[in-house]
Amino acid sequence: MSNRFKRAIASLGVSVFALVLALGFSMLIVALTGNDAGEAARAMWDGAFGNRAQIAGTLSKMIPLLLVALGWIVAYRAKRVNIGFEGQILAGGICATAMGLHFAGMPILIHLPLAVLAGVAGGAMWAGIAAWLWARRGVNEIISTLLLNFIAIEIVSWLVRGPLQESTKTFPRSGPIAESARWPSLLDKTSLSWDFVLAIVMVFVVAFVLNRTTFGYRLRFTGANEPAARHAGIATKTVTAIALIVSGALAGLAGELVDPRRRVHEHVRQLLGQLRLRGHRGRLVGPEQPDRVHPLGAALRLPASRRRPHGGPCRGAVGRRPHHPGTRHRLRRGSNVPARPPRE
Amino acid sequence: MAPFLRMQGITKRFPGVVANRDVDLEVDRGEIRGLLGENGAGKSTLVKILYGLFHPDEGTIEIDGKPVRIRSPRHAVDLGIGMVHQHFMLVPTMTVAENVALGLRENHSPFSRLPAVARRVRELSQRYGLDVDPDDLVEDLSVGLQQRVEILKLLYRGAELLVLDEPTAVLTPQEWHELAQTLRDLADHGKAVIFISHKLDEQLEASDWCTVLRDGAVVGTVHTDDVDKADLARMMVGRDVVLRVARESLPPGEPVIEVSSLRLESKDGRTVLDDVSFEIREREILGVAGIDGNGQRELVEVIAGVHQPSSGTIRVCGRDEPRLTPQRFHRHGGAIIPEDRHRTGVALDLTITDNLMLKDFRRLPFARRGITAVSPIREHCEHLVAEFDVRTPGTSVIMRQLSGGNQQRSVVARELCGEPTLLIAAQPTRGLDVGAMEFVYDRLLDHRKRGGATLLVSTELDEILSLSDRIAVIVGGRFVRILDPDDADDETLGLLMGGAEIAPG
Repeated sequence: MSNRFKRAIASLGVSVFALVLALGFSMLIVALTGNDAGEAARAMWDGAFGNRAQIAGTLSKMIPLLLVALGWIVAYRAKRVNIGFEGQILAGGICATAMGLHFAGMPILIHLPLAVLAGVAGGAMWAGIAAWLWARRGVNEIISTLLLNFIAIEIVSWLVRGPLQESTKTFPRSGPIAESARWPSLLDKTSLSWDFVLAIVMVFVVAFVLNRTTFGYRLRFTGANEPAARHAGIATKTVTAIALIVSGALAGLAGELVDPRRRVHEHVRQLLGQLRLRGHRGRLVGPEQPDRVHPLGAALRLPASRRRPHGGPCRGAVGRRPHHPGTRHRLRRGSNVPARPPRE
Repeated sequence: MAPFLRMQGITKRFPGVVANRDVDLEVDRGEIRGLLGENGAGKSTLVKILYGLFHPDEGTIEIDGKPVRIRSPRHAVDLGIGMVHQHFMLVPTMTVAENVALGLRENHSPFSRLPAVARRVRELSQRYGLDVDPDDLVEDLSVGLQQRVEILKLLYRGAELLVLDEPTAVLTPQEWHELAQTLRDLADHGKAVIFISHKLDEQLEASDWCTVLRDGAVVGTVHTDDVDKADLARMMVGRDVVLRVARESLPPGEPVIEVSSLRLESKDGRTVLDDVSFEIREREILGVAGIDGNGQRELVEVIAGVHQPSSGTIRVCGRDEPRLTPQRFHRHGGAIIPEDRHRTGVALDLTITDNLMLKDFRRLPFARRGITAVSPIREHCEHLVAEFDVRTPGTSVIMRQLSGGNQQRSVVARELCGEPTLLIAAQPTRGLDVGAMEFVYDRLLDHRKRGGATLLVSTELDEILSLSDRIAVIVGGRFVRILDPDDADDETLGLLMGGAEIAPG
């Protein structure tokens, strides 16, 4: 017990250290530009935790990142590196959106779970392609999951100009998702909804499956020593492929939570870096300039951003991290940090 | 005159453990000094300090009476200290002379001085009776000759003190005798030799003096003419050790496994197992003797269901098994102590508990409907740790933190706890000290007494001779002979393993 406790403290220490380091560097850069780092820090704090709505906003932004982190853990415990979360998020988002656009008028108790399941299935299927290639053809999953991101992005780009485009055909975006496929609000007048509870539950579900089930045991042993597991009669290929698929399913779930409702564009943009998704309530939208999309950058940032709380609520002034080149950059209330000019 | 090497009061601490405690060691020219000790007694730490890989926390080292601080292996070489590692550092596709020339610093010109190197290698080889041709490719040489190339490399670099770290693990008995002779020749030529081995016979045969380490400290230094194996074992372990195994004769029962005409081809079409046939009955141990890499691993993996044979049949407990898998092997009551415990035995980064459950995690009472039961598992593991004397602070400790001997004990505990009907024991005592070896032998004999069949694969002839009811000699994937242990001795087995044709006696 004390061993487990020590290990938990150690891993918490790493996270805290990473957070402090990241904040330190951000503040250093702010200071180097000749601005007041203290004020920037205050603005970030206000943006994230300033009042009830902002705390709720921060929490709601945490949801997809939390799920993706869980997905990473599941794959990595089986010693597989899934860097295709963007693709899996988009695949989940596409399926959930398709489900949410159709069957309007169903009771929420049926429609919403269907949309959730569609998202999970989409992410699982997208990771399943990589899992199948790995198990059958020996294709390195790092390469395949990465490249599948590009394909998913192109598919979204096509869908929002084609089959899923809103009926007015004005913008490259989907029509609004039916009310019955949206998560009900958890806290009044904030962006926090019941999917937050789902995400927290998923943390415990994943922990339970990994540590207290025979499947989790197979997965952990396979990841820790594949030949030993194979010699002991564990079907290591199957177990590993399932781990990748589950990892994708969690990302797909994140996609479902990202997409339907107004948070769509904010989250997806944060997750996908320069992938500029803009939209209105409850629509799936595509990148304005697909040629500027560079998911690799986002993929590299993802593990780091996973550990950080999010610098702001969904609307209004935002202390976004300065290294997003395509993002308009403002600090709130009397900041002397000059606003960057909008992207050309 | 001062001895060539004098180490005084050497202490080396690692977090949580003192690896060397106030160790004194003096080795003179013309002397073969044995270093003997259990796994983790501090032998390797001591020589790593000598070779500049570790720095002592306390203590002094003198070479030829002059105090030195050995900074690095390079520095050690300059001081005349050479080391033959357990795993050879040779490039197989190069000649002996090229291997010797690799990394030489005397060659400041851009042009190869290989002919000169070759000449000097030939000269050294003759002087020390090493019988190595500098133009031979290393990959064509036997393991024993490759070891001599390693020694030549040191001599070429002017080594006065040669350290051999467990040099015998890979040798046949004949090669070992030749090595012992080589070491003697080197000593007669005025070199100092430190010979590390935890095998008592070898220490008695090769060393003049033997320094015994236990728990990082020197227990004593004895002249090998004055002591016998039992004395050394007692010094090393700290208690009396029964070295001879008391194997009572038991009537064999029903056949547990019958293998006929087994053949296995590797992916590149080589035949790795050829026409292997045998059976093992209840209460029987079949020993498979052979030099490493003659198909033992493949044989074990085919029997354990990891590989499918290219042809041949396997019958387990009287039933044909056309497609044996690891699962089916376990279901038939099969258990395996793998030869390479780090590769296929344990997961170093998981806990003792996780490692102990590898065979039984699926079944009641440890799992019900796919969910594991915490307290039966904990009780089971605590029981195993106590029964098999795995020395660990607790069952939630990570496997990596245990010593090799205790890792092996965990593997033995896991594999023998379910009272298997067929046990495959592949190199079950590799790297273990006598205390742990005695323990493994006792367990194998318990298993035999209970009615279990055992396939014992080992490169240790002593082990094979004292445990087996029948002995098969494997060469190039074939069983060249199956003998009764009463008709076999070290020499016959050694010759057969080396590929000699001997008419059945």
